[in-house]
Amino acid sequence: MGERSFDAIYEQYSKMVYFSAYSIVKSESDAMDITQDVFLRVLKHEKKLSEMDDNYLKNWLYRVTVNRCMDNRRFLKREAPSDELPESYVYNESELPEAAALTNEQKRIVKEAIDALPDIYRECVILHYYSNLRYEEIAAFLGVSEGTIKSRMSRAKDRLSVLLKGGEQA
Amino acid sequence: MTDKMDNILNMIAEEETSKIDFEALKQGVFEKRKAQIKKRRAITAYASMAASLLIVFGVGTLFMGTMAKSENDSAPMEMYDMELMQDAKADMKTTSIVTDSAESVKEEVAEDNGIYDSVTNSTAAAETKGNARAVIDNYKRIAYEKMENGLKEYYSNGEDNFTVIITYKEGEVSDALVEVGEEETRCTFSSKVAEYEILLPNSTDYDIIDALYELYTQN
Repeated sequence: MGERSFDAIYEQYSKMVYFSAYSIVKSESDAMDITQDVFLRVLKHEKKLSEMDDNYLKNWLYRVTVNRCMDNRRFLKREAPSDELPESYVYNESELPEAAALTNEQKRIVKEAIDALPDIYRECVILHYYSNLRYEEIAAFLGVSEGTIKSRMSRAKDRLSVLLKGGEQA
Repeated sequence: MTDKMDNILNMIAEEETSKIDFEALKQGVFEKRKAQIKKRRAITAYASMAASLLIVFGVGTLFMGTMAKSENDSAPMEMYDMELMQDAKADMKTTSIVTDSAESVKEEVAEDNGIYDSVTNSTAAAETKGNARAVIDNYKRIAYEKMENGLKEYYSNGEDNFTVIITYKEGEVSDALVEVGEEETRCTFSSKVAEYEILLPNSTDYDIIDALYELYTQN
């Protein structure tokens, strides 16, 4: 047994793996299948992985997850990275409701809006909020600068806030 | 200033996370692992049996041919089943071990069993059985070492879903070839004892294909 058991790796990274997969495939059942496949590989290489440095392990898991998503040809047709959102969605912070005051309908709208975001924005939002990854970690995974991630995140939030206030649909 | 959108997204993320039963998901991983191990054991058994039977048969057939030639030119050819011998030679060249397809291996074993039954009746096959064992053991060792190395290389890049087809053959070393197809990339190469064919999905990182290509061409 190495420094970390399979259980410890699973406990620490299952959420990251699941939501990384979900951000690509946009399907809970597919994301679950992919998560299981990724951790099957962890089981196979438990000893080696248990001794890995945290960052290396995290990168390995992310890469395996993305590869596994891409293996499923249904998801190969991803949007072009150049699909940038317009910058006109600047919102007024004070107009947004408090999180605790959100109605179920508003939550549903936000969730649907996240799924409807272009790939590059949805990935950022999900990896940051759902997988609890820092901007610098997301930047490393996606091979872009931290500034790019901040910019994408800002635009994604602008878009979501407009939708939440009943503005233009995604 | 607190970012309200941050709070909203954090709350929604928390709710979504709580909906996923990660413990059940983990149990599913263990179940899949058990199923994989069971399948691999079956494949190994079938592949080993198929390869052993063919080598025994092949060496036995060649021995019979040699004996027939050395005894006397006037020996009646009818005493040897020439059609069977030709089939045996053909099989020696085309027998494959497909690592992740139990069904195809099963079919080969079933197909080969008929030939084997007729051969085991011959004294020659029995006499050469010991040599054949040594041959197949050596072939298997080389083949599996190469496969294992390839798998290790591939695993280290986070992938393992590819097919390796090993075909026992006669002949000299030929150049390795990497063909990028529409849906998959085929890497083929030959050594003195076997022909290797590796199929990789095109989504695979091309560094992995390069690594495999180099690994095999060096061997």
